[in-house]
Amino acid sequence: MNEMVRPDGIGRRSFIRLGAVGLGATLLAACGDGNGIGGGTTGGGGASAPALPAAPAVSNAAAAKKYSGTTVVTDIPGFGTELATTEQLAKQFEAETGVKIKTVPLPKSTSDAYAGDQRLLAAGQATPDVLLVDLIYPPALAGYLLDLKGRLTEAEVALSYPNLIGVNTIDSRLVAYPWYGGFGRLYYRTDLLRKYGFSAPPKTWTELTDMATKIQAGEKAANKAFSGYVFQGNAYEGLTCNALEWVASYNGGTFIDDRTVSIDNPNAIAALKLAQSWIGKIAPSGVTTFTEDEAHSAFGAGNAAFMRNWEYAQDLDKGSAVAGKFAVAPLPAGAVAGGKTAAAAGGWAVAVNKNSKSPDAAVEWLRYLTSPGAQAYRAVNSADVPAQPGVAALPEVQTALPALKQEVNPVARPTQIGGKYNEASTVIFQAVNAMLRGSNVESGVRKMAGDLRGLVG
Amino acid sequence: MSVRPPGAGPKLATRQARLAWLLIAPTLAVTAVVALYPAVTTVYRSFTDDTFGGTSHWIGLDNYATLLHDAAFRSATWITIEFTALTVAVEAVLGVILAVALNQAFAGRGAMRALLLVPFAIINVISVSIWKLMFNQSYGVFNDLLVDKLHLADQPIDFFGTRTAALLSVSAIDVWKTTPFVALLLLAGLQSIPADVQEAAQVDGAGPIRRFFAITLPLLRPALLVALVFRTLDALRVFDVFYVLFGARADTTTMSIYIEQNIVDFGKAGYGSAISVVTMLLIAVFVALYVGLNARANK
Repeated sequence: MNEMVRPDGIGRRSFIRLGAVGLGATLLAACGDGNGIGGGTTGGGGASAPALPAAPAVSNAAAAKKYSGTTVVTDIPGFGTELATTEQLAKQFEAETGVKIKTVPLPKSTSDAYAGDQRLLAAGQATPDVLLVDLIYPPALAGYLLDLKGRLTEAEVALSYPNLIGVNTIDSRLVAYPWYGGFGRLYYRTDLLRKYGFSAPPKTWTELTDMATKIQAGEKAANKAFSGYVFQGNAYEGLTCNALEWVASYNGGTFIDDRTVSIDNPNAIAALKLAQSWIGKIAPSGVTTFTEDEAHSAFGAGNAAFMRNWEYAQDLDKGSAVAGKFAVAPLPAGAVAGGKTAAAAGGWAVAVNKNSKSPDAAVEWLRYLTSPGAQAYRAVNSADVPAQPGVAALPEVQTALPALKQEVNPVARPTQIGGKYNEASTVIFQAVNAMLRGSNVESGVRKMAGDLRGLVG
Repeated sequence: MSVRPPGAGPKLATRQARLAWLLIAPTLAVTAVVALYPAVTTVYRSFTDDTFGGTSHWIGLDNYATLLHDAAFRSATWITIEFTALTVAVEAVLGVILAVALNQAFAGRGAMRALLLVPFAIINVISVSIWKLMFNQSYGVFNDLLVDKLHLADQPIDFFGTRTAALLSVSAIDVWKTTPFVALLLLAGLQSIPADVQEAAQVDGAGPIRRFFAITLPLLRPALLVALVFRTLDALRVFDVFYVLFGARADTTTMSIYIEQNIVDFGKAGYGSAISVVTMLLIAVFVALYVGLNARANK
């Protein structure tokens, strides 16, 4: 066919070639260069709910007034009612103290939020002055954060759950103060348990398996989409939490204990084998792609007898197909010696940037944001689980979050390995996800242990 | 331009060449800033152990040596190539069929051509999230149809469980999403085929099938090449469809997801850059392949 030749001698074909190669390089470079760095400059203020009650009075107003006129730049949760309650607290603080609070909503994904803050901190930026830190990141960020010991009183530190203080204490520096938490919980259908003759939620995973099998066998006749148990099986941080709960409840450790990889043990293998046996039996095989949302939807549509989820799922009590038909219990224990319920601890803490230009004002804002009054306000109005037992015991908080009345045995993810935690978690959730989809558990655990040892060093 | 003024010689050609360079100069300048600079930085970084918040040292080819033994990278490369081969082949065949159909005169053709673009116009993350809902095993519409309404299946099907099922599902979504783009490029190509050639063949007694293979397809080749190059580039860089459906699942991690994981999640900018460079080279190989094939066919 005829090739149209341009005056400069570049034929059409070669022009396409040049263009295509150039384009490929551009797009790839875009991919390789800082893709997905969560900024923290988007939106703000759009989501405040109209019916929010006034925020509690600022207990440390007198001390904070000394810094009137200073501006404090602070991370706030990026979406939902959490954004609204936090903004309400910021307004209250501004009004009472004269300290200006400039809010920076965080990206929805915790790893994006981390990547964004981490870049700012590593570059030595003075803002944000106050940062929100996911409980899995204090070890990675510790070097950039102000030591809060001596700035907060010992009485204030003692208000929090000790294990949360422990997670945020790195090299005996308190780098962040616990703000709110979240624990893995077992949701179960009270109506179905009654219908199939069970008087109480399962105490062990084996019991859960038996109950789910029986209920599913009965319900499946009328509803083919019904399954016994749904949880978070997708390859992501949520599966690391689920797997941690199985393994820890079987007295199989927490993957890495005392900086030594501990996952290659018979109890852990038994726990993972049981989980593997659920797939396609009491859990739909598609559970290997479920995150919190899919589990929430399946349980909320009445398609599951049991669900593992965080406290937020209690919102199903308002206007879902299962409203009034479910309750919350501690997660089952492993049916082995030393087995007991274990709940992955999630949550956030508040920290102050070491390079902040106004650390004193920043600490006062942190003090108000994490005060018992503010924590109770956020528990009632945005379902954030308090990080202080005293707040969790308040009657109005217990009414808002009934699950708080139950025992939890919080278990921390192996975050002590610091900056490599993301890699370790990826190793864990990818390996467990492959097991759930049928790969061999023993060899999978061995390979996981080897990969983790490579990271722990 | 086709009218040559009398007496014009090679001087005009030189003048035109100069004008051409002048006209593309702004584009070249912009390309240098937004494409060449990042590309060069990426190549440079691939020879370092750069990490976010950490230090950066020249380590020569160490990253590439690590890549050679990285099973996760091999798996990512394979699934990306399988996905590319599968989707580009299906999209090319469907695209030709659609384009030929839309090139016929029929009532509502304009509306059909506009409607064709709808899947391509929806933001990927949104359309893929909707597909994810529809494919869901517990409450998705496909299983509702197959199991409860049409009784074609006994049990709800898990469209994402095995690697093969996942690859087929994700490919189906990509075919739905981008076949219209291929069809549109080919339609433009079809419209540039002169009608008299077709008519002459018809007068000579060639049937519609013969005409398609002897005239339409060969004349469509340049357009097809452009479509294939674009689709192949796109498919080799695939990120969103896989990421929305499977997150960071190991056996569905594509090359782009592996890059994102290393750079953003793990902060390994050096190693991630090395993977980017290899991906870039792989794409260059595919493009060279196409261009080479086309050149051979032109002889």
